[in-house]
Amino acid sequence: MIIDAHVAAVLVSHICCARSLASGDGRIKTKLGASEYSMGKYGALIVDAADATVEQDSEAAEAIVPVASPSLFVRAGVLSEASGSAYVELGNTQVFCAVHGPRAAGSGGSGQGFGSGSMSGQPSSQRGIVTCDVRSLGEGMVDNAGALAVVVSSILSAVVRLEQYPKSRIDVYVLMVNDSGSAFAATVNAACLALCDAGVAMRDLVSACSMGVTRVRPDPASESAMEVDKCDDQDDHDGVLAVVANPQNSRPGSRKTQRMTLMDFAIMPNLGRVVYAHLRGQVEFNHVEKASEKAMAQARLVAAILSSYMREREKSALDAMSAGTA
Amino acid sequence: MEGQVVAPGMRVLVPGLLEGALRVVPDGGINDGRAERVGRVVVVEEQALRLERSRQHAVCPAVGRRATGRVTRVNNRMAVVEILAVDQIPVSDGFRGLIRQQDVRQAEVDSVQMYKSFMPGDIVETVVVSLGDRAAYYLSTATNELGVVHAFCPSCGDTPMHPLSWVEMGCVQCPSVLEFRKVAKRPASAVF
Repeated sequence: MIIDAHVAAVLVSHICCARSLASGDGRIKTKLGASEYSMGKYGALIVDAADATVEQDSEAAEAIVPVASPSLFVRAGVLSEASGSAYVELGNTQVFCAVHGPRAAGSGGSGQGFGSGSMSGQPSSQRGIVTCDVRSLGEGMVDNAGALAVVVSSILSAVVRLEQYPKSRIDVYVLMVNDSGSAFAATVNAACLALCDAGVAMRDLVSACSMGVTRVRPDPASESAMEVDKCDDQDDHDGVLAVVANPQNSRPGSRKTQRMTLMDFAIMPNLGRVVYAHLRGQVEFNHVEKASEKAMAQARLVAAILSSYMREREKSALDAMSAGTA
Repeated sequence: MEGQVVAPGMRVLVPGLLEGALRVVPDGGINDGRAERVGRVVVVEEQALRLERSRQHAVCPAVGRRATGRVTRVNNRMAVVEILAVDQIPVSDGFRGLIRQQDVRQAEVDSVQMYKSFMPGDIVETVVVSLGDRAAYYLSTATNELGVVHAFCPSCGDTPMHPLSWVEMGCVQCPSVLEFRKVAKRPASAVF
């Protein structure tokens, strides 16, 4: 099911309304690691950006400043027609994900032009497959939607227990409402939540984080450090080296994150495995380790947040069910 | 962790039980000591664990499961069934099954006549015997409780027929109508 643009707009406004309502009383504040997250009244999860701290790396020639990740908002179960669904906001990047399945392979959906869809192989009598389709709400907003679909389907086929769905297909539909640089991370996190919501058998959760390695102007502790527009190209040596988690373009239409050196990671937190790692651009030797450490730490944090959100949600649903029958 | 809600990948442990002595309900959502889905760990029948969920998750046909479906085509070797539910849980469209001549009943399989066993439109209760080929699962009705559950009277159209024996069904409104089917034996408490 491809999500209608009109429906998506209505849903986004509905969720944003619920989010602003949830910011009032009724928040449950909990500390988790370095950042605070709170469960809003409407079952949505809002994570505020953690404070950035300056670190001095004694071995490297210069200090590397970690910049906090933009705020995260998640909500599962947003689309009633899908087996499972989720909505994720990472800064200004907004993504819907719907999961349908298991479906019979080779039927349904093949009539529509899967321009940016991909499959992880053919279903066999031993395992099923995961297909992924990425679309954007506007025109040409997602660069390489096809590449993203391939990556997401290969990540999910490592995470989902496909041997329990022989000869079947699990369809993942992604609608990119707004991509301001963190499409990969938002999509993978949304897909994880949607699969959990659908009750698809998984080996583990999967969470993702992109880490941009770039230079920022002085005064990195202020919020403007997250705005990538202030960063210049790699050749410019002014400014402080920084790793930015899930970098965002500060202006719509800006393409600054395209020129950053970007490391994408997707991990399975409980099993302790990296499912996907990708570096685009160039990084100096002694910065690679640092940047990837921070990316993994951020991804683990996101995984913990997703896990506790899903568990809270399930707990309240089970309690409501037993209260209804009791 | 009994009574706790777990997420996929989390280890499931019950205090007081050795990990080796842990028994898990098959297809209960716990695999290799880790949860497969989000759910609450419950103990059933002493020391067997499974996950309890607020919503039934989607399933696909598997060997040994009951499949309820609607017959779409019949020829003299097989009946094609569109699978509607697996173990009473509705499934997505598109799952297809075949009831082959040798799987209709246990006795005298060579003399089975498919047109006297199934007709298009019948609702059948079957069991999945094999994943089959690329096009369809292989289904079987070769026990007493399997077979046609609902069939519609050919002359008055929408009226469901009631079973007269394990091979015959009749219509309440049309006394002259006698249809041959491989009829499923329903328990005495069944409504229809």
